[in-house]
Amino acid sequence: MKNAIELSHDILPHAVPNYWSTMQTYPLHEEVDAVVIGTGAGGAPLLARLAQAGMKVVALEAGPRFSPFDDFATDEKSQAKLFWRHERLSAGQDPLAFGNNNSGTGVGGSTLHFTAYVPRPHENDLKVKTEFGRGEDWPFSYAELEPYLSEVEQFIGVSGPSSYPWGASRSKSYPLPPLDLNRAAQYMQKGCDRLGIRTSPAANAALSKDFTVKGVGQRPACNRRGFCQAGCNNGAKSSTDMTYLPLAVVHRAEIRDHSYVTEFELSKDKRTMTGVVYKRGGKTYRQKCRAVFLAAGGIETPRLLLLNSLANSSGQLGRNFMAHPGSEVWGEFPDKDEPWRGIPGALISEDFHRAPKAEYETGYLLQSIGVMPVTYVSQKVRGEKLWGEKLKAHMRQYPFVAGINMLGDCYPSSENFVELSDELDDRGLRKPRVHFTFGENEKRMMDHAEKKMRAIWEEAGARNIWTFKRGAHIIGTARMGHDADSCVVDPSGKAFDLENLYICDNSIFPSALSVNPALTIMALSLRTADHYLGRQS
Amino acid sequence: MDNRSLSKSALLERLQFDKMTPRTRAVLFARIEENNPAPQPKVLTAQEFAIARAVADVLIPQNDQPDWRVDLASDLDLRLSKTIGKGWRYDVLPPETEMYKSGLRIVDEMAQTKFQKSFCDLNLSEKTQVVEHIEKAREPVWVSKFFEELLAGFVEAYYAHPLTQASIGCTSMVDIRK
Ligand SMILES: Cc1cc2nc3c(=O)[nH]c(=O)nc-3n(C[C@H](O)[C@H](O)[C@H](O)COP(=O)(O)OP(=O)(O)OC[C@H]3O[C@@H](n4cnc5c(N)ncnc54)[C@H](O)[C@@H]3O)c2cc1C
Ligand code: SF4
Repeated sequence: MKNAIELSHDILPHAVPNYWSTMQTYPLHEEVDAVVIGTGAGGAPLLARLAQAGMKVVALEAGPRFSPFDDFATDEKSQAKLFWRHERLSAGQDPLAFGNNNSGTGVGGSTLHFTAYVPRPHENDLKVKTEFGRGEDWPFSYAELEPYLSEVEQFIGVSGPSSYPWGASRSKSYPLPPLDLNRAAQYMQKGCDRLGIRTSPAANAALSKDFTVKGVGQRPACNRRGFCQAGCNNGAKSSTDMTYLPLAVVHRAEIRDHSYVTEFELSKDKRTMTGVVYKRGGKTYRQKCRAVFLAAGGIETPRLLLLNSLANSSGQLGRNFMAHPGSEVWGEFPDKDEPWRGIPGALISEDFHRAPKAEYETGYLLQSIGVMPVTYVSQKVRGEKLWGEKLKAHMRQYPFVAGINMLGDCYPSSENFVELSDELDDRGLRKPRVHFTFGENEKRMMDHAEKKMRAIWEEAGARNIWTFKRGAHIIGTARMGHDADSCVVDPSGKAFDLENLYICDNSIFPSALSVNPALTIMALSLRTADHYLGRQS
Repeated sequence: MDNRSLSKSALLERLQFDKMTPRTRAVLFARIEENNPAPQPKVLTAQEFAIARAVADVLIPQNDQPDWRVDLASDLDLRLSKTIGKGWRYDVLPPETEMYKSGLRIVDEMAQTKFQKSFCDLNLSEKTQVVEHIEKAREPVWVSKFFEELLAGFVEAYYAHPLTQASIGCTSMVDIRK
């Protein structure tokens, strides 16, 4: 425990290496209380919670550990090291892009390259089946989730508005005031004002002021560098490597990087996991443990279990895959607005969550967006096949562009699922194939949102407006619920088929929600830890 | 303001290396020196490499750059030489290296069919016609996705280059801030 007090005086990014040099280590042959697989939004909060309760916990993370200030350049190409780049096959009518689009790796998981929007889910997001007769309800209510959402916001440092026009009331206001509105946000505000659409500064997991993470240390405010998706180099973004992971290490958790889990050891009756098998630097290791918490993300979680023929008596593993309809609308403005500056998603509108007389069910939100140059041009050419002089002329306008994007709920469909292909990846394991096609409701929602976003951009004075359609986030492949025949995990996150396997990441969402997922994943992670700890005592 | 014909030294000045964090400076400096002189291709054959370079010149003309070039064909070959790629692939496409090799061969065959010449021997207007043809082709089924990959790969490499970014007035990499 030696460094906990010393460390609290340090500014975190520079203190991170200290955590590692003093980190507790556990021998492989000693049975630890729990192994956590993955250190992103789902793995990290729970790792800290279990460690704080005095448990011996080891996290196994496939990706490397980074030291942001030394390792992160303000450059998209070299930061591709944050992407999960083991090949996935994208099938269906609306095949999804991965790599730079949908998932990350490293100590911190996808939160290393997430954009940091952290809106709360709505009460009715958890009850879509009751309301519309389609999709699924969550097995518990918003009221049960709220204290956890609040706890996460207070601990990691979320900057957000003091009053918010939409959603349920809050038990506590955001710990920090909202971040500045960048140009995209100002344009969106102007367009929405003229159309009578309400807006608010958005909640972001990035610091508007210097902030102390309780029990960990101080972090500096955001310097508006705008490269959040390529990794924050000063620790202002509240990724798990700046929040729950150092807290876990202070409480004697061990985090092993470059550790790729491939198999599990089981008791004779195959009802209990007794150890986890992983590869590190070409060697195979086995860690004995009393419980396993799987948080490898919406694709790697079902893939790992499918590869091992585990936890699938329901036949539902890999099914119910969902992605948020995430169309973006871009336009050029007269002034050089530098779309790479400032927190990318500074303004939000949730007026189209359950809009009266809407031609779609459920709902979506709108956010202003900044963008990095390579991400922007890549979308432009994939979407519009622009090349030659036209492309170069378009890109000379890049410093003048600004965008808005929608993010909407998605119904599960039997067409959309993750399966194992017969092709092997660079590690010799079967590649996942991901089938995805937007359903009718998602298409109606995207059409509605596109019209609104174009109207807002016209009012704001944009020219050369264009749309890029995409799906975002990887959700729902190990559904949580009461029924063991249609779900993979029970309402506490425990796999129905095993006594001591918990799944705790984006894969257990019964419905996609009409908001970005990371905040809810972190809240669920703490809730699962509490259920587990409750059962132990 | 027209940045089209700025020289390398003018662009370097615009980059303000002294106002970058050490890591950013090191990465971007290395990229400017990368592929100079051009390395021998490791994955593509000399012929495939020549076609790739000629197609890149049509997709992203660089003749307005007085004294600098981004070597897009070398970047492609380097990408293909790595065991880890971009993390996903359209299911309809063959594995990446195979796709590029077959796709570049299709480009050359198209040139032969239309003009009875190899793609590299065509003039600019003929090359442009062949590229337009490939863009619209529907046979084999994956060729439109091949075109998307080829284009996106070149474009990402081109616009990741600090000189290109400086030439369009993007100064995102100047990252020391108060
Ligand atoms: C570019 C981008 C922008 C985003 N923006 C936002 C946003 O603004 N707001 C928001 O809410 N969400 C956003 N997201 C999504 C958000 O980051 C994810 O939903 C969230 O991090 C998922 O959490 P997770 O625990 O399910 O998985 P992850 O965070 O992806 O963590 C999984 C971890 O498991 C590791 N792993 C996988 N397989 C193994 C194995 N076999 N052995 C060991 N380790 C393994 C991986 O390396 C990874 O570190 C964004 C994502 C991306 C990629
Ligand atoms: S904008 Fe703020 S949070 Fe995002 S990378 Fe920059 S400093 Fe970090």
